[in-house]
Amino acid sequence: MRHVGLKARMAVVGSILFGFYAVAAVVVMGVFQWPLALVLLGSVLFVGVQYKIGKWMALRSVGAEDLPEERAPDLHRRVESLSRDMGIDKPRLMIASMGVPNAFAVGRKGAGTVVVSQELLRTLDDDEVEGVLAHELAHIRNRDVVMMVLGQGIASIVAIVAQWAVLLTGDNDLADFFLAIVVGQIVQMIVMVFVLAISRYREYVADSDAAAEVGGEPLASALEKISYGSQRADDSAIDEQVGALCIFGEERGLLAKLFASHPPVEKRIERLRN
Amino acid sequence: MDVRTALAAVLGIGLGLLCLLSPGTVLTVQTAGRLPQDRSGEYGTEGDGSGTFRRLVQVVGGVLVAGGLYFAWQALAV
Repeated sequence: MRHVGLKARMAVVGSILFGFYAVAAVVVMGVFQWPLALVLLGSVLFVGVQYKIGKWMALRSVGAEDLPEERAPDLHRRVESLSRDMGIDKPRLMIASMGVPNAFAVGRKGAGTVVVSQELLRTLDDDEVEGVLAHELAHIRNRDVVMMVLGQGIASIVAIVAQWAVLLTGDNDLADFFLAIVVGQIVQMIVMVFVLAISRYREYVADSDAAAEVGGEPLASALEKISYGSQRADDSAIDEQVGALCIFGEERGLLAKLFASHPPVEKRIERLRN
Repeated sequence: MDVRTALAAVLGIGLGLLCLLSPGTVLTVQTAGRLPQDRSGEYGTEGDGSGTFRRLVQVVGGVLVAGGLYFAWQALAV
């Protein structure tokens, strides 16, 4: 059985998210007298629009362009071969100038897109690029993008319902409007803690899938090269920040860990090599 | 003391401080699932948003703290 740990975690987090959503749905049905079908249809539409807009914005924000096969035949061949081995359709391959070595996947299984930066192709050797591509294809195969959209959709719906609950139970004075906005944001944060916890675990799973396809070393080496390359450049800046690494610290503070969508790079490298 | 006004004050100041001190956390919560988190920044890391968006979150944080202080004053005055 593949990814037993992920399935167990998804069962727990899925149940918690369903619980949040069920409470929100019951409130909407009770307060606005909406039938269940309308609540479900509205939720699907809400999440669907978020998915479509998110994909469009992600590609647009980095200025991604299609990478024609004649421009990078070797890269296309590698993606095609990996996709075949991983049992998915070959995704659309795009390139962007992001200023840093990077790659990410958007879309779903059967309609995925992988974007690589020019800087990544310049920095990494062929095996390392293959490790990165295998990791991104694993995200598409495991439907990680869709799961995150669903999680954010549920968090947003629960937050909106919480805002309305505050508004409808108050006197509609200024304090109530303010409280509704604040409560909505806090509720969204609480739900997102669970979504982001599963996101971090899904990164490890994508690493493990990539390692199963091309071995762990290429991806570990890619992460190390990029991470340590930037660490040297940022050494002086980090020194200045070390003193501020408290609960609110952006680098390693408790909140930053709790709300991180990715696990620490060092841990990923260690797992890939073990 | 009105409980809801006091709650608006406490939660508003708390959320405002979070926006001011850790804008990246707030950006992650707002953008995760809407945009790929590894879209910005280097490979293997999550982007912490552009400087503009971080400043914007901090401005919102400032407004929330100011609002929270106003409602705290209101709650204590009654």
